[in-house]
Amino acid sequence: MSNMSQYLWLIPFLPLLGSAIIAGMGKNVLRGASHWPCILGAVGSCVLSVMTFMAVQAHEIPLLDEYVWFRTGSVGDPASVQVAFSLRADGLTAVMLITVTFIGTLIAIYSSSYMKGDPAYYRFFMAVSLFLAAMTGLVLANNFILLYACWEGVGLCSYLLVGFWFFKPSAAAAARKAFLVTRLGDIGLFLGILILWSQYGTLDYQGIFQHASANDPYLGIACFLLFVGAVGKSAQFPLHVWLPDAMEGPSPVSALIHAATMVTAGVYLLARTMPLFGLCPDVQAYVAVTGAFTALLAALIALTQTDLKRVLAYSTVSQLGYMFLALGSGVQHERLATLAVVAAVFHLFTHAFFKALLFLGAGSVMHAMGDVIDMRKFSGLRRVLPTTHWTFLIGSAALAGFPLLSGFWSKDEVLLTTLRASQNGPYATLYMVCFISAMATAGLTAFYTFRAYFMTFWGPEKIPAEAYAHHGHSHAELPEKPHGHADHGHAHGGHGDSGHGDAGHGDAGHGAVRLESGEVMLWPLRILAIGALLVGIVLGPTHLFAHFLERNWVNTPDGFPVSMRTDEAPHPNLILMIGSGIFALAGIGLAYLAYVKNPKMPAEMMNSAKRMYGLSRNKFYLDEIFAAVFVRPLQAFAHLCRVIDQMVVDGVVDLVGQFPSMIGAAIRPVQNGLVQFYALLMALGVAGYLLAVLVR
Amino acid sequence: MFASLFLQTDEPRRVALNVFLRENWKILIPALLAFVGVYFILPRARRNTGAIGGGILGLALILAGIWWVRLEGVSAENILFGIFASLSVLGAVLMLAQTNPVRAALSFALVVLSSCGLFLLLQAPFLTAATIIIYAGAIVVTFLFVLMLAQQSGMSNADHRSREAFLATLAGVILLGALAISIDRAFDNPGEQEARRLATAQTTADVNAVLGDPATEKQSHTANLEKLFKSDATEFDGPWRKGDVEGVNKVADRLLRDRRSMSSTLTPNEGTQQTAAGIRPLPPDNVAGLGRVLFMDYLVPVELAAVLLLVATIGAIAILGRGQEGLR
Amino acid sequence: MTGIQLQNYLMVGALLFALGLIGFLSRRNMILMFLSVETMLQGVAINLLAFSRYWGNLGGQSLVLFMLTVAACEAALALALILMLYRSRQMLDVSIWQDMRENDVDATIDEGPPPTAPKEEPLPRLTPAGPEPVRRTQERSHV
Repeated sequence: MSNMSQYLWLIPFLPLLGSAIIAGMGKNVLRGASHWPCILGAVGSCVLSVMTFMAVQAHEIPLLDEYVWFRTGSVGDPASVQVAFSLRADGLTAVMLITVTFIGTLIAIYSSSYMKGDPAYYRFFMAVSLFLAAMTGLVLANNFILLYACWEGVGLCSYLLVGFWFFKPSAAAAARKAFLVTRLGDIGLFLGILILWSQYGTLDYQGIFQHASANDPYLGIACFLLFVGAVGKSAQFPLHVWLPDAMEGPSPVSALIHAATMVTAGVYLLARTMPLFGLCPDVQAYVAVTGAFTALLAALIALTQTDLKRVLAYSTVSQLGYMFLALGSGVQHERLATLAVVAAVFHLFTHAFFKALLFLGAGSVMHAMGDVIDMRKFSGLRRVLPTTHWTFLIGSAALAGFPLLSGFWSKDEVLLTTLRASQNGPYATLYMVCFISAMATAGLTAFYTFRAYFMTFWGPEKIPAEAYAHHGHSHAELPEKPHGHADHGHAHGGHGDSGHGDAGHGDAGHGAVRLESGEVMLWPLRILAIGALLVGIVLGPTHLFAHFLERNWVNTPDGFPVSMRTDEAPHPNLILMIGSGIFALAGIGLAYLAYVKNPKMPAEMMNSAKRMYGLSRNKFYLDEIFAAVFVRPLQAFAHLCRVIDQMVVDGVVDLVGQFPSMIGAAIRPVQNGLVQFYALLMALGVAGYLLAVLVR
Repeated sequence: MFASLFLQTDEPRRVALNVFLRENWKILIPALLAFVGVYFILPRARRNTGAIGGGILGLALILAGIWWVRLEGVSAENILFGIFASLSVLGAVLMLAQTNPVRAALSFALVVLSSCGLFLLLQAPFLTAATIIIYAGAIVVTFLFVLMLAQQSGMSNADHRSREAFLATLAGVILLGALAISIDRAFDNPGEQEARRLATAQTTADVNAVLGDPATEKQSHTANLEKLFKSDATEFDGPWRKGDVEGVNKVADRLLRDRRSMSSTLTPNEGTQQTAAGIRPLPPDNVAGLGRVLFMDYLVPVELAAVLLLVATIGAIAILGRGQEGLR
Repeated sequence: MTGIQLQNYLMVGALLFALGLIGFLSRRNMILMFLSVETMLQGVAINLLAFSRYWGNLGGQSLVLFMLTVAACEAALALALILMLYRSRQMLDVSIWQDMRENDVDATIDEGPPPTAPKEEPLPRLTPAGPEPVRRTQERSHV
């Protein structure tokens, strides 16, 4: 273990190798077995991550592995910059690594069943593997350049996976939107990195953190730009619009990228650069307000969405807003930085479990319902999909903040941090508003989560015809034969190897058809459900998580500056816990009333507040506003440029080109193919020459 | 403007157009007439203007004979030259005007035969014979054969229309005028004019006007003369100092005659050998001398010519041997 | 008796050369073009011989002899080619061979209709005399 740092590079390298293998051999050699390199790479990476975690725990110091990547200028020159391919493993990295690789492994296993039979099976696993490599590289990076490279790699994988079914126009558009919107943020990140480099002459975390002081004139701008990058990647207002659309990708992608891991990159970035943000209370106020507002906005939108995956997507945006709120609350004067990052990273950690669980559950529902995801088309599935049902219930409860489940503990820490930040300081009132908003959001979260849960699993049993059409069709074929359905985008082979080859007789009638997914898909659900149940209660009240982070990251010499550290143990605020628990239970109860006891109530509510309902239903018209404010003018400008280019620039170029052409056209008739004419021209030339000689 | 780039002349001479016309009107008028005449006699589809063209061309030829040809006195040789020269030019003109290719071929035979007469006057009996045999005997006959093989009956565009008659005639006449002016200039330059004035000088004043006054000048002004006569120009010095007008006349006359007349004998393998004597009968060793030159000085080219003939023979057979489907 | 001056021969040569050139440029019958070229060669030959006599050596005559050789070769090949061309188009007009022109240049076509042959008097026929020979239809060929 002592030389674990020598093997850090293997963590991103194994998935990268898997990706390369799949890319090289997937199409023709591996075919249906393309998931193996990906799963093996992920498992190997996960094992190494656990080993890293243990090594960090044992050494209590960061592990570093350095290799000079490139360098400009000569050594010793102050203007030169040296970028090392340096990896770093401390407490934060270890936690992130475990999250990413563990969830990634489960999702890869789940996908091997979910994606079975897809014509581009190998392409999916190639991208997933590449994504794991990029994401682990991102959290392992020890300087901004490597982080930025991996950041872009993650964005690329996101593009590839959202647009996995690129033949669907909506998927292609969603992929493009995701890429372009996050690109806006990436520009901010890049500018921020450049400013940091120009100010401090280095790109290593440590070098910058040690040199930074609150008086640096450009630090605030740099932090704000870094925050812009995080906003883009983590889908915060106003750049959140890409995330719901990204649900066009396969469900495992939604779980892996747009819930559990990739969008947390922004949170990770802010947590990592907390020593800088702690110096800029103004920027932190921005962060907190953005987080609180995003959380509330997304929750309001989620209230009325009827697409199960979209509800979850908005809940993701909302929960990310919580994380940003926590990070923004880590104000220095209250020595809250430690508490803030612990809260944010803890929420990130628990959120990864239950959100991956929820998305995989939604994928399972979608799988069973023949790709129908509109909640109005099915209901009462709790007996049809028993395993999916109880796992989904656990996930929903955790998300809603049901007492003693994981979401409850982490959300409480976030709320506690915000509350503490509002005690005094220049922005106390602002943080108070944020806190109230966050409490309201907690109630809303519980309501919309259980709304989705009740609409899906309770009520009269209603199953769309697509589910049977799909299953009957798949049973009519040989189980071994992979069958792709271009119209559904993917096929479902989970039934063939489910081990429950029981009721699958098409002639026994619809009711006898087993709709539940196969075991390969269910086991990841079960594992994640256990995680969602226990992670919070094991790590939260016992402060194991907080202690680990503090000991192995915050309080190390490379960690936060001493002025930001806090020695006091965070004491749980009982009143707050009870209050948030009541909010959560109230939300759940309201949802039960509205969607189980009294199914007419939602319609009445809708009628009574039509305008509000319309606003929420249409996502506050944000897409339309963006289109009107940014897209249309840009399009008009592009058209103008095009017209100018075609008329003026091309015209000038064409005109220049026309000159030789016109000269050629003028003298081309000379080439009329008549031998005598050529001889005549020659003789005339000689005659002209002779005349010139004689007359001159 | 451009000509000065290519020509290495002693001094660029810029002449206005009117000066050029004034200097060369004797050349230009017949050339212009020849242009109009040839343009009219060329066959054309609709109008038959051969008669007009012929008239104009005849006038042009007469004027050219008067102004271009310098024959001194009446001798058998001069008469023969006139006959052969006019016949060959006439043949060429006829050949241009004919619409019937057979007649054109016969006109060409006339050109060949009359120019062979000129060859004889030029002391080339072997070439006269060879040309008659090869051209009139072989080539023209072959032409006639081909015409018989190929000539379609009736009239055709090929024989009754001319391609770009105006421009073609223009090009040809400009070339002719240029050649004529060049020849004229070569034999009518300042040196020659001075020599002619000296040859016809009556008084010492006339001589001194050209050569300078012997009382004041140490040397005669003979730059132009030296250019023409090289070292022979010093012959003027003696009579000029003595004021001997007749002596100067004699020297000028002799030098001019030497310059203009052809050498009377052709000697193989010898350099320039000019004599003042008149034309003599053809020397008997003329043909032998040609043979000697050919087989001593030009042996390799003769062999190459033999190879060329062989290759041409084989080539002609090969081309025609491909038969009907050879082309297209 | 001063003999004939050199320039007179040169003038005759120039005349033949120019007339040959005009013929070559304007006449469209390939055989006539060829005859024009030969005329030009005659003019050159006169020039060469005149200079040969003027300088009193035989170099010019030798050159004319080579010229004759080349002209003979040229005649053989040119006539063969002309015959070849004639075989493919049944015409001696050089203007029908204009396929090498630029793509977008129109073919050069003569203005107006082709010239019509004047009415020729029919050849006189002898009145038949004697009895008509008997035709033997059964006669077999020797081949």
